[in-house]
Amino acid sequence: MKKLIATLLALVMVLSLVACGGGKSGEPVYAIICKDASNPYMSRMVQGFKDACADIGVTALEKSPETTSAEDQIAIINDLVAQGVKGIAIAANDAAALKATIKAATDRGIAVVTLDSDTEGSQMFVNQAGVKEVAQVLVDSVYDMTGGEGEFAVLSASSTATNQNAWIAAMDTIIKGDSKYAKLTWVETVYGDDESQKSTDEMQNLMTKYPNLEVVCCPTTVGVLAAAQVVTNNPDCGIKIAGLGLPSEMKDYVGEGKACPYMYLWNPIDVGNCSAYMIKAILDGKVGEVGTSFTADNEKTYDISAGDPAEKQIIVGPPFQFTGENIDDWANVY
Amino acid sequence: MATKSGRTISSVREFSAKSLLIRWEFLLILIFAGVNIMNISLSPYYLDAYNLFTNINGFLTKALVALPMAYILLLGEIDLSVGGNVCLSATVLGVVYNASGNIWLGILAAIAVGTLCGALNGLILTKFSELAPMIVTLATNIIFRGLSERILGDGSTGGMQKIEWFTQLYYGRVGNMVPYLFIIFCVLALVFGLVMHKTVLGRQMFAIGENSKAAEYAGIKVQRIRMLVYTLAGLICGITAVFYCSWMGSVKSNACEGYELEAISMCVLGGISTAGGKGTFTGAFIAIFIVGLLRYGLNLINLSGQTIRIILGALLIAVVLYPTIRDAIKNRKKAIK
Amino acid sequence: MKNTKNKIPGKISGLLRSRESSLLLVMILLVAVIQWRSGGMFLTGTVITQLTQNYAYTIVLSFGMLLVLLIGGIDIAIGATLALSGMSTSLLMASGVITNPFLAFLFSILVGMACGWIIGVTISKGKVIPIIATLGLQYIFRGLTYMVSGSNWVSSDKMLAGYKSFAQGSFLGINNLFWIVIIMFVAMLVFLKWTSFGRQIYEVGSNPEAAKISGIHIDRVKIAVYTINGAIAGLAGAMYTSMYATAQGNMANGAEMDVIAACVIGGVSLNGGQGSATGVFLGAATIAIISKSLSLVGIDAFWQQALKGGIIAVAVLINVIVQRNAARRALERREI
Repeated sequence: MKKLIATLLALVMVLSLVACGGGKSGEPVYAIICKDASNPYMSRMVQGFKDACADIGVTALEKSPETTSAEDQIAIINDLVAQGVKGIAIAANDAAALKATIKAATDRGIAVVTLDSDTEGSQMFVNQAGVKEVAQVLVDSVYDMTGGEGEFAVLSASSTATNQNAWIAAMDTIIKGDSKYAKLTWVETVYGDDESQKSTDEMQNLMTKYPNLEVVCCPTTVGVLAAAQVVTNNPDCGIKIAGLGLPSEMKDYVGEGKACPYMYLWNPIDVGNCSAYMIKAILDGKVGEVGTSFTADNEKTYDISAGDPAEKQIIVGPPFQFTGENIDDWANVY
Repeated sequence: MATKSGRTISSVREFSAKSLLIRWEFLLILIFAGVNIMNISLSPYYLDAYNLFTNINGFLTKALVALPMAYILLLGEIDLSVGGNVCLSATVLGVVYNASGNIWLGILAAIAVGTLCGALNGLILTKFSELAPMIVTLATNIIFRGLSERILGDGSTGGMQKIEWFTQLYYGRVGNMVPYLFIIFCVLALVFGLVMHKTVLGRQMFAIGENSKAAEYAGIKVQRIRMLVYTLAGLICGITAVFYCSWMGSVKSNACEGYELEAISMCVLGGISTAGGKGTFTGAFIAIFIVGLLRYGLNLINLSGQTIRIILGALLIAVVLYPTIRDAIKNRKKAIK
Repeated sequence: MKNTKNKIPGKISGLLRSRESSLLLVMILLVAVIQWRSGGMFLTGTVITQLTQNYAYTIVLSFGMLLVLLIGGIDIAIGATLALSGMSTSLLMASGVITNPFLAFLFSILVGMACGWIIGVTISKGKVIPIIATLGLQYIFRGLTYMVSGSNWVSSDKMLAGYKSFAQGSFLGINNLFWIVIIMFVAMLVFLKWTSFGRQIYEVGSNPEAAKISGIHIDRVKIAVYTINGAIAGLAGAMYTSMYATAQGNMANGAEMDVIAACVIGGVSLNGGQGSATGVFLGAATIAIISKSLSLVGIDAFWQQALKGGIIAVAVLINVIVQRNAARRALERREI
């Protein structure tokens, strides 16, 4: 029994050492909450957030939940409130469920912004690129790759992925709303659950089911990766891949004559960076009403537009196009 | 699996079964104290009672599921479908409420669906008693979650938080301090504990877990009790779904993923053997708070979710390894003497 | 007992009643329905090739799980073992330490073996119940996967060309990955039927006390089985990363459940001591066919999960009913 107590005490000591190494006391703390721990896209955002925090002169704190659930994120927000951080940036795992928890945080004077995925109650959504703009470039890539006419399909992440669902819905609106796209036939939307095996299956099944398929549009990194790999291994199928993907993961597949002629994404580092400055701006009281604009501490001017469901939003930038020419350079960045 | 391994293990440790149990709880209390001392020394924020209750509330929905799971493990069985069951019940609550505008109807439907799902497990397992509970509940888990996915599609259901008193179910507190959910949980745990240790039914469950064949020959209605326990688990899943909805205000088809394993590890840490027939409810009760508070403390010192998982996994194994290591040390000492 | 009956050669009636043949029948029925509902799209060379290639690693995992289930254990950490071995191998390839595809496979197997050995020791020497030991170690292995990779992925361009092309290549018209399955299958058949160690595995599973009395080192058998299972998961990790040309921290998350379902459908008993390589192969193939074909048949995406669970449940139930009938018939015959 003595040994047990000794072990426990030793454990306590080790952990206190870990804790002491954590943050510099005194400095205000901004925290960023990821969707989960497994995503390189998310870790680029964290990287940008940390850089900005260093420039602002605050301590940055990275928190990643154990699972991709809203529950774990709620627990983390509660912990952060208990710790007395000044600001929280969160990539929300649910569009509604975090509302009450976020309100408890903002009631205590903590600035809460959302990035990547929005949720109710957030004071500001740092939108990587407007939903319509993303949907528009996706539809336009499909239009361009099919030559304006033909069959295409969408291979998405899981059916509960909020961002992907919003983009797909917006694509639908755009295609139905413009006669220019009348000759495009949207054959099916399938879900690869962001798993390589399922995405590969779904991609291959699309090819089997629709022999005249010309383009598959994948607004998710795992999906676009799997689809591009399938096409690369079946060079005769003549299908082209459009979508959103991380250049570092897609380096082998993007370029003229390859599976994916070009694809889009915004710069996740910028999104993370910007959200730290937004926290600062909210705390400084710089953010005005919807329709006004302001200059943040990074000396960039942002226009505030009405968000949904967040009250306000700013848009970081239009989606950026990656082609065979620039992919190698960007692959080293993110 | 249950009876066989149960028999071998109990025959190994029979000599000190009772003293082991007492010591096990002592060990748990020690760990519980250790976790609290660690948390207090690590973080000045830990002892804020309001925050502490906020956080305890955060793991109590999972802990609710752990209550009937203790019974199921006690029988030497396992229920992997609780996560899917809570998810489906919560989905039904949201959909019924939105269709009818009546939250009571939603609550009733959720509890009914939860109970029915549990009864379905029970029915399959008692009618085909040679089937392993693990595989049946694995399949029904996929079915329940799949049905929720079918109902919700790529969307979600919500809006229950518009009703103030319904939101208060989870967020409300007595004296602006102790959450209702905490009180409800403690009362339920007390009832579960008393039934397990002080009633005939409880003793019968122990007997079944120890050796279900022998229990059957002794006149215990094994299948009826199994049916009852699985249905009870379903009922609690339905109730959990109500609190989940009150908490989240929105349900997606991936809600409550992983509840089953979380609940199982809480019970096992509490000394309820998955081989059946062994354990105390007090142990499970303490273990629920050990897991919850340890996670809270590790979060407060800002370890990443994955590191926390590693620590929890190591703790689980260390605790279940403890009796073996202790016995080995004892035997060696004896040998030296 | 049933096994010995089925072994009598030349008895067609016995063969028909065997568990494997009833499963084969279910499978043929399933394929027929799929073939009909998909408008003849299923039974084509392309789809079969895709199926064998895409599910090779799951089938391989099932063979490892078979051994573990035979000794009355279970391993829910194989997904995490797969991820840890696949990820560490890919990382070493990316950093240029491993420059040979063969060495990459070997290293992955070794990492898996180490994981399996730890599981085996915890279970046998530590006397921890298998599901709890593997539940805890699953958290640890998965956490380590994220740790070593720093939550990043290893992309295709950082992997060896030979490593990636292995999974796409074929020999005698059969995909390389499926060759691994075939070799594993034959090895399992031989191992379980004709080696004394294979027999010991059955013995330990069906009656551990008797096995102990007859002089089998139970602990040694257990550690060996979990180590083999780990090695197989490591092999599957290499197959996975070479097949998809990417290594991601959450890969094969939850694969263990599909694999256990495959084994049970294949007639393996979770109580230990009962099951065959042929059955597991058929069971894993059934799961693969279901997973592959649900979207091919044109079933609504949101129905697929519920239907998959339903098919697993029905397959398990059919198995039980067939078994019951067989047992009853055997009893009736004895009375006559």
